[in-house]
Amino acid sequence: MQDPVVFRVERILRSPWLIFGAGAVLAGALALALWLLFPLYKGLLADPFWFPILVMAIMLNLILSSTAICILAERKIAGFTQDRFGPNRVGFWGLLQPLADGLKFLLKEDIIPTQVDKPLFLLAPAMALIISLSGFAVIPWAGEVRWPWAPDTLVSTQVASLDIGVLYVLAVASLGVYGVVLAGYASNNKYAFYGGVRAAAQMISYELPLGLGLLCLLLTSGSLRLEEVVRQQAQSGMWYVFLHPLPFLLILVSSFAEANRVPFDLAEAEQELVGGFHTEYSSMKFALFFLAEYAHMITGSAVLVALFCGGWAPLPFSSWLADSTAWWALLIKLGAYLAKVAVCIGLFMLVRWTIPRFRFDQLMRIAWLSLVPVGIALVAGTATLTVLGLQRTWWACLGLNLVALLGMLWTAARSGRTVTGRQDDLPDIHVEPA
Amino acid sequence: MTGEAIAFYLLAAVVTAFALGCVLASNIVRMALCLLGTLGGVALLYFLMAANFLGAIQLIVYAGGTLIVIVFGVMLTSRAYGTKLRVRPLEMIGAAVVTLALLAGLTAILVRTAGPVVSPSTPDFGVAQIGTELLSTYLVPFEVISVLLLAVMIGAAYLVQPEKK
Amino acid sequence: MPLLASLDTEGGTQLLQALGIFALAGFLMAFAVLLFGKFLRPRLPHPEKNRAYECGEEAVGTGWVQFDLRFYVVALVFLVFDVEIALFYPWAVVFGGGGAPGASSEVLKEIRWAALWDMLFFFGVIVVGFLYLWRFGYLDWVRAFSGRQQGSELGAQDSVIERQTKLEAAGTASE
Repeated sequence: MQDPVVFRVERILRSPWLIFGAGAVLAGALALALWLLFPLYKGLLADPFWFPILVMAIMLNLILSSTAICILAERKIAGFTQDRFGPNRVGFWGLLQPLADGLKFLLKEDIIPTQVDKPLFLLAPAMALIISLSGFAVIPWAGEVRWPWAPDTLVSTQVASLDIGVLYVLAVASLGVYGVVLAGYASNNKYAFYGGVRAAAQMISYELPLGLGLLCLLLTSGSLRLEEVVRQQAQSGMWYVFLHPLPFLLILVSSFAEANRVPFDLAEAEQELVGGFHTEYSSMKFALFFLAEYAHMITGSAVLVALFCGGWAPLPFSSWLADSTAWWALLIKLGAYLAKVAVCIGLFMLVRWTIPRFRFDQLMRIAWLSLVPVGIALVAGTATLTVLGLQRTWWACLGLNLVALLGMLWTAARSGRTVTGRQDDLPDIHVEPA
Repeated sequence: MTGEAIAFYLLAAVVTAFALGCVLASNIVRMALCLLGTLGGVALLYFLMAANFLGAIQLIVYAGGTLIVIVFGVMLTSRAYGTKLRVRPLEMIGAAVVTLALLAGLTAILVRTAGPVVSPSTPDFGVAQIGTELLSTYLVPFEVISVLLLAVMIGAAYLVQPEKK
Repeated sequence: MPLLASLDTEGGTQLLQALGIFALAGFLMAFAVLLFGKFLRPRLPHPEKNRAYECGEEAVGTGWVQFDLRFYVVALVFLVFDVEIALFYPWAVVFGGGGAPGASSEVLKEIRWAALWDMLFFFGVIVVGFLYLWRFGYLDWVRAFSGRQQGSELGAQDSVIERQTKLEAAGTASE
């Protein structure tokens, strides 16, 4: 029988009144504080220097706390996909689960095995986290805004308006390898080491389709500034995903691989490698790796949304709010952006629970023998369209994509084996006895 | 002191510290990590000088590409990172000669080309300018690079060629 | 008053500030949380708990094993494409966009066709190498090992498992 006290506490914790009441009280207190303190931070909002830093502080908090929500969402989606409830014991509808998880991570014993390279072992999770956060610097959250009390200054919600924004995204992606490789090396554990090496080979392989896909986009936009790409899409209403569905797919697949998510999570394949690169990590350090993974996923989604799905543009095929700098437009744009990012993250999660993990040779074959050739063909094709002046014409772009897709399928069919199928035509590996 | 100066000296100190660490470390993976620090720090210096394209390329090609090749090369030889690396006197002399020659060369270039400092943020200074130069003045080197890259690919293939009996 | 104000037309200094704040936040997250937890969590070290988590058996040797040469080829080919992509970005900005701010549209039109051929030549040369690698199976992860030399010497192209077997047979499994 259950302890009656524990039972009673659990029942109180699980009541919807508790969580919604607490949420309402907290939100009310926050709103009150914001309203009362308004004269204090009013100046900051209209300052072109401090406003982006304020945005960054808010976004950093939002991202770090939304990873907790992401973990709950992931488990709920897993439950939905597998026809079960998902977490529902801690709090109403499992809503207090992130809190319980955090507490558990904090209270677990932190084991540092004796064989590890200790400084590097401690450095690896911090490095993974910092690198995955750095991508946020160039995200154009909601365009520019003019506050009613300071109509002369136009402030931007982007932290760093970089003239090479897209390249910066690529650079951050290429550095993402090191956290995992370092963890794999520093653990001095064979599983961890294989995990690290696999992760490195996988991440560099999928960086190429990423770069080629971005190049296609760049040929159309002609600008490396993320806010410029978003502005073009918002003004024409023609989001680039409608013009370039295949490059979008290339980048989507690459961001799955760069974030080490299923079906590309060979670095931590628990059936083969125990936990891969994080086998030896426990307690809060383990949690930091997950924080980094989710932060990576959120950055990836935000970049994808900015480049292909119109960024803050609320409606496709319409230029609504494209030139508006009013404060209410800011709220709508930010809402649209976050909603799109949320949809994208939902897609990441759904894919995780539907598609089984690839084998390593399949993984490499997908990257090198199907995504890279298609990427090359698409770049050459888009360049030709650009010379002919057709790079923004929907039928030309879609035609090119269709031809590339058919070419890929034709090559696959002709070679007699599918990308993920068996390689029966290769001779067996013959290992000589020593 | 201005903000730029502080940032510059801070970054320069970090880069130098990592470079020293790279030379003095006895564990080969820590050396590679220090090299990452050096390359990344130099990229940040480029960003500080508003040479953003150069900074990003430094991160993509050197920190993200070349260093991975080096790390893989290190990991190919399992003996290298179990043992501590020691430098023999003869090697030290050789290294000193090469380093001093490099230092002399760099100083000579610096002395010869040092002119008035130009503000780097002139409007026609950027990616588009680099692209135009690549397509006009430096077209031949640009195309020759492709042949070089082809040679690298064939070389890579040759490396894994199973030895013939 | 901005800390780094003089050069922010290109956004590089803004980026530096942002990166500084990110690095600070990341380190604070990582180390403050670790430090805070230190006072809360139990610490009961035990020699068996602190061993490598491998398979329940005593781990043989270090975890730093040699790995396959195929990874190295992947890295080299990746580097080639990485350089190529890096060179293509400035080209694409000129090609797709308005070119350098000073360039007129007639110059641009003229330069575009030339640029397309330049690019196609560059691409063509790279693709020749790529097709060579593809055709002769260097990009196939599962390779046929029929041309393998026999002998007990540890070959560079041995697979990890094979090498491990040989090491164990030679009685020198750990270094």
